Amino acid sequence: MRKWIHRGLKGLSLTTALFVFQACYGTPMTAPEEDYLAAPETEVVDEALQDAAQSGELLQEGVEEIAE
Amino acid sequence: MIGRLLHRAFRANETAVHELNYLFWECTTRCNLHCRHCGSDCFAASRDVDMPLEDFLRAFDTIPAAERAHPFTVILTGGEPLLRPDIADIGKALRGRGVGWSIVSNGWFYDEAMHRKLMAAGLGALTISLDGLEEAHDWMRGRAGSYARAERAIALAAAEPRLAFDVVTCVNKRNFQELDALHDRLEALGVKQWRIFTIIPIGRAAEDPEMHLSDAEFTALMEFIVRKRREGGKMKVTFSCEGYLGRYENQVRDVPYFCHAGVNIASVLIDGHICACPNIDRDAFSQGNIYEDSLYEVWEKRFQPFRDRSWTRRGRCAGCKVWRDCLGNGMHNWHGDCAEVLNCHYGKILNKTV
Ligand code: SF4
Ligand code: SF4
Repeated sequence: MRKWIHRGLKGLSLTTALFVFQACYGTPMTAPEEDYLAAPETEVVDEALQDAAQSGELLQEGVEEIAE
Repeated sequence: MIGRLLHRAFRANETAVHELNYLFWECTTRCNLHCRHCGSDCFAASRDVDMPLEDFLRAFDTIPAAERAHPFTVILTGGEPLLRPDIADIGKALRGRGVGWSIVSNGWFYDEAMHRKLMAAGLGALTISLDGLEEAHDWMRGRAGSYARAERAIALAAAEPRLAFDVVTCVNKRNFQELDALHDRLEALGVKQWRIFTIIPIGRAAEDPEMHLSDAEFTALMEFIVRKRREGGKMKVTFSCEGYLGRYENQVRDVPYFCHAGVNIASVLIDGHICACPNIDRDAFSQGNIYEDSLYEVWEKRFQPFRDRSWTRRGRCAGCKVWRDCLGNGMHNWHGDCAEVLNCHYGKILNKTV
């Protein structure tokens, strides 16, 4: 029951802010993976990804996804 | 009143569900600065060796993928995380598991090359600490040039659309007078989020009168944040989660006070101890150790002192009329024998610090 309430509230856009928190010595929460991958890349990131790809650094599956 | 009751119900429900969303990893205790307020025992050549990445991943992998909440962020903290030579490998390993990661940094090593390297490894969020304009910041950080390096990092991060980025400032007697100027400087640098907190009176900070705001100054700080939020500039100013603020609740933050430590927040500390926020007294509140226990099992089965705060009804909190909203303030305000809460923000606002 409690999990249903939690999921239900989380699904309501008006209450989303309630689930976003940050500890004093922490960072903002990262965007969900899908949003992160869909975000526009800057030139800096593009270049960095190309550099990393050329130097064979991008072997990890997750980072290859970011480059796609 | 209805809002307060609803929030209490929401908090009770979240506590019962205790979804893990926010995992600190104290990946090093080495640091290149000598901050006056540092709560941790950091020095350039720390006696603790950095925890190997494989050890952290072994602990992390005890969290079943199906149970991993969304969003989920691993926050690399220290010490100064950018002192780790394998920082990009750490990020790639986490992104390889579909997890967002972030760093809290003093900005010293955050130049363009570092920015490119970290973005390529999937850095999702970043917090840079800035404790005033140049003189005040360098005084607080104990090293000339710290301000210039932090400002360079801030400019780079603020221009990066993929980063959830903010600047955090610990307000003390020195920087208190220059908050307006600091605000304008950060806004000019393109910062969108500025978070303010105050010192925890422990360790070196407890003995240093320059670190502490008087009750009147603390209330003036609240008024400053209210004013900046009303002005509605390009940069949002927020007070941290550190304590219950009575009449300032809902005026200085986006959501009411809720200490998420142990409810949604856990940490893996440098020696493997499992706790909640790293600024909590680790001797008093660690719940296990990744070298002996399963991180996920500890999260599921222990953590009672965080999820049932009734034990905080002691000392000045025992007869407090707002205890149900405050629950004894943030967990980081309880240290040692925990006989008394270290800091009562509500009391400061009422000018009743004892
Ligand atoms: S006395 Fe304790 S419970 Fe009451 S406001 Fe202060 S810290 Fe919170
Ligand atoms: S322990 Fe302190 S920093 Fe952590 S969530 Fe609670 S109030 Fe915030």
